[in-house]
Amino acid sequence: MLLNTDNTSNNSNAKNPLYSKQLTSSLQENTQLFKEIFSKDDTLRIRNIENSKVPSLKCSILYIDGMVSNDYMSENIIKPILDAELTRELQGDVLFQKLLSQVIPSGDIKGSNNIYEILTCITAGDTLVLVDGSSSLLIVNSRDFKTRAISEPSSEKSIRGPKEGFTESLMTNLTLIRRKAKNPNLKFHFDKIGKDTNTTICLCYIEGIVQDKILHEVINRLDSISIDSIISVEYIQEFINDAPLSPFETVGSTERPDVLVGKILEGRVGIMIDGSPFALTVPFLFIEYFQVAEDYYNNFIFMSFNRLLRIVSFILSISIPALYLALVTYNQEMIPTNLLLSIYAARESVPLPTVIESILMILVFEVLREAGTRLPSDIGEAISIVGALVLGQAAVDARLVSAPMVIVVGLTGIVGLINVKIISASILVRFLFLILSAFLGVYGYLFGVIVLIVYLMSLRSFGVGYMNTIGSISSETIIDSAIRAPWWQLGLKEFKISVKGKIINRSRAKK
Amino acid sequence: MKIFKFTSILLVLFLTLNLTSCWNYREVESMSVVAGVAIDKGSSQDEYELTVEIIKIKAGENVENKPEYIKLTGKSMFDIARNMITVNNKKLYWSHAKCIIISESIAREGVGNIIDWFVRDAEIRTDMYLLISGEKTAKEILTCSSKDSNIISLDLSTQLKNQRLASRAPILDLWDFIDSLMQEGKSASAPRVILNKKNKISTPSIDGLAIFKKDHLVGMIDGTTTKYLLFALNQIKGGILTFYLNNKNPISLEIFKNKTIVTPIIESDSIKFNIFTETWVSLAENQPRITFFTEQEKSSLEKDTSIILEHSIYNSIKKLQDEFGSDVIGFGLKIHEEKPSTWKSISSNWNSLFPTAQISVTSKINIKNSATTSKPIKLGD
Repeated sequence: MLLNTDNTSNNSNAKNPLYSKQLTSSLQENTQLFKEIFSKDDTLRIRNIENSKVPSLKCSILYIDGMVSNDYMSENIIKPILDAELTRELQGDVLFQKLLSQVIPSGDIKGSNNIYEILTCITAGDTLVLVDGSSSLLIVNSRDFKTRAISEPSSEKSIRGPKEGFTESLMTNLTLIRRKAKNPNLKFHFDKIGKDTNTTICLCYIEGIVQDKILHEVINRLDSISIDSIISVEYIQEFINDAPLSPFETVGSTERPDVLVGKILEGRVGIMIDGSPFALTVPFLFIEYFQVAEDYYNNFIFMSFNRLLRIVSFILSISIPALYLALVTYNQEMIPTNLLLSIYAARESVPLPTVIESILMILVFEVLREAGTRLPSDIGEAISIVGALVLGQAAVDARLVSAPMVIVVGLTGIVGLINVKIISASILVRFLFLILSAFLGVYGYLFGVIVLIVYLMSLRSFGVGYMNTIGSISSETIIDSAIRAPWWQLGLKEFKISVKGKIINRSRAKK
Repeated sequence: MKIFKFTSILLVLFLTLNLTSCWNYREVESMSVVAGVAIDKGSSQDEYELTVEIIKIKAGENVENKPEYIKLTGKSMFDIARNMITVNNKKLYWSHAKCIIISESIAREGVGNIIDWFVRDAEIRTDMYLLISGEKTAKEILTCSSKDSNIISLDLSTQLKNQRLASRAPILDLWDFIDSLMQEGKSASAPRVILNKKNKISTPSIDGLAIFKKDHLVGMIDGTTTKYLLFALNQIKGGILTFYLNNKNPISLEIFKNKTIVTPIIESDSIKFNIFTETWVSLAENQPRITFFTEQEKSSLEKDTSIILEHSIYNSIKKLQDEFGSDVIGFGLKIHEEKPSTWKSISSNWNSLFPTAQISVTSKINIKNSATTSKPIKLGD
């Protein structure tokens, strides 16, 4: 579990003068240095040991309590040093080399005198072995801390697919990926981002499949991120996003290792950070909003139908309130007579105009939705009862809102929830369309549709057209876009993402 | 460059927002939905009386739609329609109006000036039905709703749509009427609506055809004659043909499909029209209990019925020629389409030529099947 820390040294943190100090050959001074660095931190543990047979072998063991395995440390570090049978004359750096190569039976051990690297390792849970007479010290990996067990991802459930999801531990996640693609071309490239959090970030891709241009662009953008702290992978997402102000995402995220592997097999680059159970995938196309893991594990006819359903649902979720408003208040002649009479009857003696009614009802729905997601699950049911009975039934009975409006808002909400990932965009677009409809009727709605299509067509994700596969009817792209073709079709012409021409960086991560 | 982009976007927005044509934010419940309108003569000579049927919606536990009638007289259609606000409080909403019923007396004077507003107005749709009242007035048809307060206009439009299955009146929209009014070589016609009076309850029924010459009504014919005219018009989509062969009991054929070809034949000084109809039917009712399941019997039945159909069609067209002299079938149009050079020379006096045109009808009836049984019911004790 060796971190590739080569390029971290230039990422120097000049805030604390202690960090720029050099290690000396005195065990006392070195220990003192670490005590000063961790001066107000009580989790630092120091254990001084001496070998009874070799008097020159004096060591200090430094570790952060709770991050290391005590058993492993006493068995594989302390005991071998205490029992070591070495020539008595050995001193300083030679002794240090002996310890490194002959005494400590650990698989992951290295020597270092770079104070920054050392601090990174000890805070990550490594044990430091300071040796008297040497200006370097040993870094032994003895990390052991509790992580969440691998469990089914809650945001992307699958019925027939694998049930494992990413956890907060990066290394666990990488094993999940490696186990799905046993391929030496699968590369994991580590880096660190965040001066205050020192977060490990990992790029993963398959060499030979990923286009170099895209990979370089990803690395470039990641390098130019300047942020002090990163808690979750979404921080990175906002930095490398091609359309930073857009509600439409141009960076995908997933909680499932199988999805990530599927995406990198199509030539995408995965980005993961330590501490976040989500992985990012770039480039991200619009159609990926509608592709879910289950599509690939179930019957292709059924899943093609479901995928079409998802696309239609998205269109409906942004259109229903706007169209209803436009038809009822501007273009009544387009409603069938019987329906018009029903709406007429329902709207009679309702005090609010339709436009206010619809905006208020949609807001009420969004409030209920937000309340439902934030509340613990056992109170969530209460919300749905309140929402359905009190606000729906009672409001209609009291003639505060009309019954068709409740149906419209309810339907909008349900179809909106089918595509959870696109919800932020669909809420915004829904309101924009509603406002356009309120001013210009069906004409305004069509305006909105045209502008939306033009806008989506203009978006790029790492140089790849956002609507890439939508305008094309070539057999390579269509088999996995609006429908999901059977596997014997998909396998023949596998879609590989690629960019022609130069990638223009439109993100906020610029040097 | 940025200013150019900005101004061009502004220009595009400005221009497109002016292209919205007629639009306005208005709530449904602020208007009264008009279902139909009847036009009669007013008390004084040049005044019209409009009777508008609006749908009164009673919201509540059970939604009830009841008709309500507003009457107002005036000289201009639009003026009357607007003035109805003073009676009704709400503005009338015309987009869902289904029928215009015009009284016979007005139709005889000419309908061109009345329907202008209905065609011109942006709100009124020209796919509504123009009906000519076969009763004394038009309003008595619209207001006859006595049995369970039905909205007559909606009922009438449903009835006319279902004429496809009965073929006793043509399904003509207002725009069809305008079209034939303006067209050379075809006279206008409109469905006739009459009242069936039984036990003090009267129900309107669309049956027959009102025949126009220019925009004046010249006469009306009944539903059966209309059906045979529809054969010549190639507008038969369904319906029943009833024949009395040798005895008093009828034999009924259900029409599935019909194809009519009209061919004009122009000779030196005479004009002749060959009408060929081919009809696919099934034997739907066999009261005389004739046997027909051999090929010979079937073809003799086909032949007999064909001859009767030929005569009926011929008589209907003859009636048009002799009684009304109005070319509602569009024979003139047929000449115009097929022999434009001839039409140029005769178009000016087509009105006088039409009654003299010779007609010959050839009909062919194909009996496809005899519904669910192949044999007549045998009587045995």
